Formats: sequence, structure tokens, C-alpha cells
Amino acid sequence: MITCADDLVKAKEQGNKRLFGSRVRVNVGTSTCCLAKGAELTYNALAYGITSAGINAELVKTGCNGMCWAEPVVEVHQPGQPKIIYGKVTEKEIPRLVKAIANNEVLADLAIARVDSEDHILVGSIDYATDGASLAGHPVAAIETTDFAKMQHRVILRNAGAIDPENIDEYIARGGYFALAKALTMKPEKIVREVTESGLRGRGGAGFPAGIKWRMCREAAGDVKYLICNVSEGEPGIGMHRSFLESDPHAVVEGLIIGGYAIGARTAYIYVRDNYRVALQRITKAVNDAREAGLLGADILKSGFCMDIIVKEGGGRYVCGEETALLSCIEGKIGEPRQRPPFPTNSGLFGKPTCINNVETWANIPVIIEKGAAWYSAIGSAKSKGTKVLSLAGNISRAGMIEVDMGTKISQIIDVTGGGIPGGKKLKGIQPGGPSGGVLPASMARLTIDYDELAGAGSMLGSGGMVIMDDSNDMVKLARYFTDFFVNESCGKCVPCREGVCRVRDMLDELIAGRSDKTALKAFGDLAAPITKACACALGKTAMVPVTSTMKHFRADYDSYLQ
Amino acid sequence: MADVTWTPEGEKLFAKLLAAVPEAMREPIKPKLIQMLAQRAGSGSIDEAAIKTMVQEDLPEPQKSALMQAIGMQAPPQQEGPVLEWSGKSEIMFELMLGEVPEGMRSIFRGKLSAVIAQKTQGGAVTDDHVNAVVNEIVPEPFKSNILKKFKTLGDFDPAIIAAIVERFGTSRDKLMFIMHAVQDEIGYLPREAMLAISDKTGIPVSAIYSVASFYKAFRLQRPGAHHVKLCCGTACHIHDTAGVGREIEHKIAASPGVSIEKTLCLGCCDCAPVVEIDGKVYKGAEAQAKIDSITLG
Ligand SMILES: Cc1cc2nc3c(=O)[nH]c(=O)nc-3n(C[C@H](O)[C@H](O)[C@H](O)COP(=O)(O)O)c2cc1C
Ligand code: SF4
Ligand code: FES
Ligand code: FES
Repeated sequence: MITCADDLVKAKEQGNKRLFGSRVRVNVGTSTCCLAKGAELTYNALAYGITSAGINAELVKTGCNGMCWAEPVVEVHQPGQPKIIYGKVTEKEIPRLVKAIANNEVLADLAIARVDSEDHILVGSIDYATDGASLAGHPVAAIETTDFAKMQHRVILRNAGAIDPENIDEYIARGGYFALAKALTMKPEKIVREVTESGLRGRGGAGFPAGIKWRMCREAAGDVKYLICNVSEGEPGIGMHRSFLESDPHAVVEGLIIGGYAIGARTAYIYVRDNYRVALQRITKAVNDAREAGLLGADILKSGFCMDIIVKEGGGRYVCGEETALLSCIEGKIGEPRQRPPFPTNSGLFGKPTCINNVETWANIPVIIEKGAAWYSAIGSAKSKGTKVLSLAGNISRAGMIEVDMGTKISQIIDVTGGGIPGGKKLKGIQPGGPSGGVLPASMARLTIDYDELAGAGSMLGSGGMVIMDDSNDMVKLARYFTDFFVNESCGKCVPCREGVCRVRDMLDELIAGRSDKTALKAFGDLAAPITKACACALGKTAMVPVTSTMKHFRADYDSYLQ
Repeated sequence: MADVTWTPEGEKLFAKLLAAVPEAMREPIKPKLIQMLAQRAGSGSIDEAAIKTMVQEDLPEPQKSALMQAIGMQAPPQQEGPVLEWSGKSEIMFELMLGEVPEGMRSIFRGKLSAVIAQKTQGGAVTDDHVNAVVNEIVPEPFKSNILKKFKTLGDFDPAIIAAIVERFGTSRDKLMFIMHAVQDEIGYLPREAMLAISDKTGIPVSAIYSVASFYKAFRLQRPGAHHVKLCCGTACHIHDTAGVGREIEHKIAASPGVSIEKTLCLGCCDCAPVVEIDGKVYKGAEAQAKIDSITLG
């Protein structure tokens, strides 16, 4: 049981014993995507190899360290020496890796990078290479010098891949739950003010200031209030919220407890997409472990504050990510968006004031409390503060989960962190955040990760699923693909969304079949305005963006189909 | 048991033997194996010979053959399984049972288990009861429970399951989806009778339950096949699938009764794109192709 700050310190020691024990520690990334690349085989083969070689090792299943392009990823840390990150460790590499571990050697050809010390934002410097041996001429590059890492800033991903996501002590060892202890000694109003002053904006797409939403919910009338953590993530081509939840679930739990105390809510729901099995299992375990440790339930850390968290498995509909549809879903009804106002902060779940934030928004909270608003708002651009987690996918050399400061140039993310476009192809389009943000042309790679800058360019940051497209992509077919997505995901409540978008898809089919002339392009424009205006929710309102944005930026692709 | 001693070679071979045992069973079976070995070794240390004799003489088939092979012994000649005549759901049940066996051992188990069934049928057709009997008699836990649970996805279910689930969650409307997810996890899909039973137990009108079940893609109203494939149609998979692998998979499955398909958006592994999920596991590239071929042609 953890009932006071001293208990936290004790748990921290326990965690550190596992993280920095006297035996070699071996981390194997086992997120869903790692598993798809054979991480399970790697893990089993390692377990067998280590046992039969009689090596005394701490073998741990961790989450995603972001290097999804190099899966299966294995990290080896011999006490006192740099941690070595190995990539593409398939089953057949295991015999030599085991031998190297037994003889305390480094396999330079399999290694991606070495970590001598980590600059952890909560606990400061975490040193791996403590034995004083010279690192000059080490055969493996230091992580901070690699292209993949040098532009990243791991605030939200501070623990991802390094800790056992199913072990609460390891989270605490890296400063976890200390922000909660601190928050519970603060006045709730002060916490809300801190979040407001940090400049944190919602990471779910629209970028609404989190502090303002918190204040509205806190000041709304009523004793019963709810919090919701949105992990619906229904956009096609996005996986980072899942990977994050699979890697560091306690960060979300901690953020929610702090939020509950600040806003005055005693129940929180974590809404997770239904087919995220590993994420569901890990977040459920984290909630249960926190409850068992006394960090959830009655009288948390002797503060008198009580709270509980319920994990809700979603129903597999994109529209349920929309906040009012999400409410209906949790209430056990079909997920049709509702009229706003009233806004959920006044009348949300079961008619009570409800604060809905994205999972990444919640994960920012412990950091803001621990480091303060001033520290936080110094990161990022003028009006977009902090960092952003992105999942980089599509035609890119290093697809993975990354985190950069707001204000970072997209071109740099593609060329440096992502390693450019593979196969000698050229960049053609960028989808910064889900289909609703449309596709931007290569020339706009000069834009930065910034809510307002992207909105100004007619796009949106969205929740951060960045898809890179090379010049082999046909933008008309792509627009058709996205339009088809909206047709399938419409909840069917409004006619323009249900029928209009469907009609647009048919027109695109006609165009692709070579049966259209110039008038068709004008017709797209004529349809876009009423659909955008008449739809009840943002799904319908943005359903035409894929077509209008590609027509604007890739007109040649459309012209090539005209008769 | 604490006083058993090992020769160095014996200890190594034992580690190898254990590693070949499926992970879920390793801990429970370890003391039993050690006990048998201690008997074999008498007062001496456990050496390689003791382990080999134990595996050969003390273990039942089909584990015996599989483990002999795993520790490098010449396994007894592998007989081709007898040709069986299936009836009812027995063949699908048999495949579901084999699906629980680690991939590397499957062919050995196929032969051995067919032989056991052939003994039971005495030349007649295999019925559902025969397969059920084999699972109950020779399959150890936790595989037995897993397999029996999968059998439930084949149709008939016990109404008591639903009563227990409703009991666990309560009857308020916001618990409806929790109940439906739990029921589907248990019996593989939501048959009409299950929805009627949920309505009966919770008092929620069956029309409301049906509309929830049909609105959300997470719920299946049809019985899934012996193999269930989720084809990712997300953006990254779409962009990467230049060769039209997805469509090919769709065609293959359409031509294979017993395999069901569902299209989903983004399985969350975009960097491996294109991917498919087969029986709950995500596969990519050539592996996915091979796996699809093995379930559609087999
Ligand atoms: C169709 C649609 C889908 C959405 N999907 C998500 C989602 O998957 N995750 C998310 O956090 N927000 C999603 N949103 C935005 C939410 O409605 C809501 O604005 C957000 O969860 C608020 O959290 P934030 O302020 O922390 O961003 C979606 C909105 C729409 C219209
Ligand atoms: S715009 Fe579309 S998704 Fe949104 S409420 Fe209307 S029909 Fe439903
Ligand atoms: S390393 Fe596997 S999900 Fe990122
Ligand atoms: S698009 Fe297929 S896994 Fe994401």
C-alpha cells in the first residue's frame, strides 16, 4: 500500500532495484506492432537461450521505444556499462546475442545506438555507463548523435520502451506518481491555473486550451462530475495512442487522478478502441495495480480525495471519437453525435458536467504539475506549447513513434528523423493528421507542427498520425479512398453526410473510369459547401476535405483523368 | 524435491526440454517432471540419460514424440494419421483444437490425435462427441479450457453464461456494452438467442440491444469461421498495398468456407503495413501470405 510520500520513495527503490539491479537487464519491445514483427519469437528464444546458458538476467517485456522501423528491438544493459539498443533482432540472431551477453561483448553490426545516460525530465540524469570506463572509440554510436533521436524531445515518451509497463514500481522509480503527491497538497484552483498557464492545448485534434475546459467543468454546477480519456483513435493510419498506452499506461492514470482532484470528479472513464487488445489489457492492469496500491479508491495518499477509473472497451466506430458520440457510447447507446450546446462541460455523461480530453493531453498533466507551467510553456512555439507525439507512417524510411517540440519543421521530421523517402522516390504529399486534415503538397513541408500554422494552410494537426506519400501515389485514388472511409463511417443521422458524401464517391468513380469532363470538377466544389455547412458534427463537416485539398494542390492528377 | 542434484549436462538438457513446453504450462509441469526424474535417477544426480529415458517411457503421446524431437532424440517413426470421415462440426472442432498446439509441433499432434480418434470411432464417422471426449480426456489445462471455450463459438451456448455475466456487471443501461463484449468474448459472436437472453436478464428491450449490436462494428451477429481474418484497410496499409494483396486475400477467403473476413481500419501497426490479423495475431508481408495460404488451402 502507498499511503504517503515515504511509501512512494520505498516503491521507487524497489523499482530501481529492477531497473538497475546487479544482473544484466534485457528489454524486449512487445507492443502489438513489435509482436507483428515476431517479437514473441525473439522473446521466447532469448528466454530459452539465457536460461540454458545459465545467465542471470532480468528479461523484461517492454513497450515501444519508437524504433518501430527496427523491430524486433532488444535493449541490453550490463550493469555499469552503456545500454545497447539492438534492432531487427530476429530469432536467428539470438544465439550470437546470447553469447555476446554471456561474454559481456557488444555486437556492433546489430546495434543501432548506445545509451550512456538519459536526460529524464522528471528524475534528471539517469546514468547507465557508471563504471568509469572510457567510451572513446566505442563501436556503437551514442543515441543522441543518431538522426532518429537528435531532433526528438521525449517528454511524454520519457518511459516508453524503457520500463515494464505492467510494473508500477518501475513507473514510480522514474518519478511516477510524485506529481500526484504534489498535486494533492495544492489547491485544486491552483492546479487548474497551472494547466491554463502552461498553454497546453488538447491533443485530440481541435487544440482547445485544456485549462479553460477544466475551469468550465470545475465551475459547472453539480456535485457529480466525470472525466473521460479519449483513446478512440479511429482514424485510419494512426497507432501512436495505442503504442503509448501499451508502453506507459500509468502516466495516463496519474494524469486522470490529478484531473479528478482539480476538477472535482470522482469517476473517470478511459475509452479504448475495441480491437486494441494489448493496450486494453495493460491499461486495465495499470488501473487495478494503482487501486491495489491505494493510489485509486478512498482517501488517496491520506488526502481525503476518493476516485476510481473505469476502462471502457469501445465499439469500433470512428464517429465515437467525437466527444458527444463518445458520451452516448459510454451510456450504452448507439454513438450518434448530439447537438451542442449544451457542451459536455455543463451537461455531459448522464447529464452531468464532463471533461473529455485526449489520452496525450492527460499524459501531459503529471509533467506540468511536477515541472511547473513556466517550464512547460518555454517548450514549443508561440501559441502551441509543449511537445507532440507523432506516428510516422507511409512511404518513409524510418516509420515509428516519435516526439518533437511543437514548432518543428515537417521537412526536418521527414528528412532527419524519418530518414527520407525510400527507394529513390520523391515526396509528393503529406497528411499531417488524419483524413480530416487533407493532404498537403511537398512544398508545404516547410510548415511546422503548430495548430495555427497548419489550420492557416487549410489543414489540421489532428491527433498526430502523419502519413508521408511518395510520387507513386495517385491523389485522385487517394481522395476516393478517404471519401469511401467517410461514407462507411457516417453515423447516418444527417442527409448531406449520409447521401451527399456517397454521391461524391460515385462521382470520383466516374472520374477514375474516364467518363467525366471539366464540369465534374466544378460539381465537387458546388457540393462541398452545402455538405460542410449542413452536417451536424465534424465528421461530416470535414468529409469533403480530402477531395477539396487534393483538387487544390494536385490538380494535375485530376486533369489527367478528364475527357 | 529440493534435494535433487543434476549433472551439468543434465541441467542443460532439462532447460531445453522445458523451453519446448508451451509457456503457459511450464510452471505447473516443472515439479511433476522433476519428480519423475528423481525417481529415475534414484540416489544419483539427474543426467542426460535419465531425462531421455523419462521422456521416452514416462510421458504420454503425443507430448512424448514432440519432446523427444525437441531435445534431439530420434522420435518414433511418425505415422501418417489415419484417414477419418468427419460428421457434424467435428472437423472444425478438430482444427480448433490443433490451433492451440504450438506451430512447430502441430504436424506430430495431427497424426497422433487422429490415431486416438480413429481408435474411438472404430471405423465409423467422427462425431462432435468423439472430439469432445479427446479434449476432455487427454488435453491438459489451460489448453483444455481454451479449446472448450472455442468450441462454444460454434453455436450452442449455455444460458447460464449470460446470467453470470449480467450478474457481474449489473443491469443498468450503461453496462449493456460491457455485457455484450463479455458475451461475445465468451461465445465468439452474438447469436439472436444471446441477445434475447440479455434482454430477459437486464430488462433492456431487445430492439435496443439489436440496434447497438448492429451499429457498432465490434459486434458480430454471424458465427465467425474456424479462422477469422481482419483485413486492415487503413491509410498506411492502403498506400503500401500497391500489389493489391488485400483484394487477393479477399478472393481467397471468399472461396474458402470456414474462414470469415472482416475489414477494419488501422490495426495500429502502420509501420508494418500492409498487415492482416489472423485469429487474433497480426501478420505482415510474406508471413501473412503464407498464413493465409495455410488456412485457405488446407
Ligand atoms: C469524427 C471525430 C473523431 C474524433 N476522434 C478522436 C479520437 O480518436 N481521439 C481524440 O482524442 N479525439 C477525437 N476527436 C476529437 C474529440 O471530439 C474531442 O475534441 C477531443 O477528445 C477532446 O480532447 P482534447 O481537447 O484533449 O483534444 C474526434 C472528433 C471527431 C469529430
Ligand atoms: S455529420 Fe455525419 S457522422 Fe456527424 S452526425 Fe451527421 S451523419 Fe452523423
Ligand atoms: S517498437 Fe514496436 S511498436 Fe514501436
Ligand atoms: S493502416 Fe493498417 S495498420 Fe495502420
